Amino acid sequence: MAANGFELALDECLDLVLKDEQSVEGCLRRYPEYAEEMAPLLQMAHEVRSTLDYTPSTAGKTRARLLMQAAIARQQARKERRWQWPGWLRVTGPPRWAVGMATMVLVMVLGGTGVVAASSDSMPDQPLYPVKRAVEEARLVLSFSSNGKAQLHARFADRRVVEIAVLSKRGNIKRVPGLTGDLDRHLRRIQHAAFPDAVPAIPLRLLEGMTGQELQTPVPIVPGIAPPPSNEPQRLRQGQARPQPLSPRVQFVMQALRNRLTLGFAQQEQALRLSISEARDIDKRTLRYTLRVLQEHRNTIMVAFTEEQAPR
Amino acid sequence: MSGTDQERQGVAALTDLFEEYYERITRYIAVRVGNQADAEELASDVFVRAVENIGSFQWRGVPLQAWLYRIAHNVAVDHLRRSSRRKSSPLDEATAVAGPHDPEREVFLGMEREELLKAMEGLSDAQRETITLRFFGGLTSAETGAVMNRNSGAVREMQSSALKRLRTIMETEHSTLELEGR
Repeated sequence: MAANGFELALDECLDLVLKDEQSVEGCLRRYPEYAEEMAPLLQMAHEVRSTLDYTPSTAGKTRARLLMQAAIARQQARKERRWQWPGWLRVTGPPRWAVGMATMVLVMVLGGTGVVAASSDSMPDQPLYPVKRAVEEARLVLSFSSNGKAQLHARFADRRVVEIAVLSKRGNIKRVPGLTGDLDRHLRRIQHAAFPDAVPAIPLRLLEGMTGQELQTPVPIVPGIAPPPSNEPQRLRQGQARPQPLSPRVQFVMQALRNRLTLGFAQQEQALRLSISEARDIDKRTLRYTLRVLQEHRNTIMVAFTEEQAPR
Repeated sequence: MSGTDQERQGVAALTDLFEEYYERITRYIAVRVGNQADAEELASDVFVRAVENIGSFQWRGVPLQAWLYRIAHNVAVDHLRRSSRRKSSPLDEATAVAGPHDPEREVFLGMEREELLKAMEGLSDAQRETITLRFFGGLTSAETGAVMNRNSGAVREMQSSALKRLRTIMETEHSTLELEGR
């Protein structure tokens, strides 16, 4: 028992001495009954720490942070390339464009029956909801411009927030985490379409005057880390190092997207805050997480707009 | 919560932990491998590996911090195995203590570091791991226990015995040097 008491006292003193919160002498005064036995051990600990300790370089930390961010971007890009249908429709096999076309055929057939129109307001706990999501996916597959995809994802993000708010009001919170994941995916894809500096895609501002081959050229995953060597034209590489001023057309598109998103984020945040205030205590945490996801994406996207449109 | 949600949550938590734990993990690895430049490179490997393997992390098991230190331990052990315990200058004999350039002082500090690292080789693996995690990893006994799969009582016992052993080794070394007239 005495040994246990000594080890506890030594442990406490080590914590204090190692954190420079107390001197060896000060700690020994706290435990006079162990002072004789403890003194040489604390001095040994102090010597070990002070002799072998060092301060890691800032450059090393910056490099580590960049490598970690690159790993996160790679992981995210891998996930984005995977099949992205919601869980209840997740299948493997046919290529995405084929499923999109098949869905469009289905949409045209069902369109006459009013099923598609009726599904557009359906909620996740209703039978027509799968049709609504299938139509959304088909529209995304058949949209070929970055701006078109970004606009669609912004609209679908609005829908996910409305669905979360409605389900929350009905007390059906169990579907909210899945919908939050879908919201996160829409917001990430807006970023990918407009500002893919951190993911392997092409930013809107580089679309001007690029050939089809150039469009397939990878851009750096993380600013500051060189992309793999390629035969891409010197003009494009120079463009990445020193961005050219945006053309009026791209500026207009960017500004329209920015306005659309600013309004959308404000409404989404307001809806979520209202849901949180009305939710049961047990559900508030889930909804707060959704709000956090939204806010983080909003901040990232808005900062990207500011940097993109800053005068050069 | 789905696996994807957990992964996303894990990556967000790792990003937060990076700012708080990068220095501690680098110090821990530096003492394990005895080289600062290698330690900084290996510490970045730790966080990259953590991101890549966050899907395998069990949220109800050990804390995420403890998991990071386990990865750091494995990274250090792999490095030592790969380099076949090649001898390198302890902590690069430089930049360990910031201050004015003083070659004589640096040589003296380098000798002290080498002596201490050699003394630590006389500890058992568990004793060395305990001291390194506690003194350089900045972990408490309970946190050290979580990394080493031991209870905090066992860790306290281990650190006490490690310090006693280290002291004995250092005293013996000094006595030998005195007898040799160095």
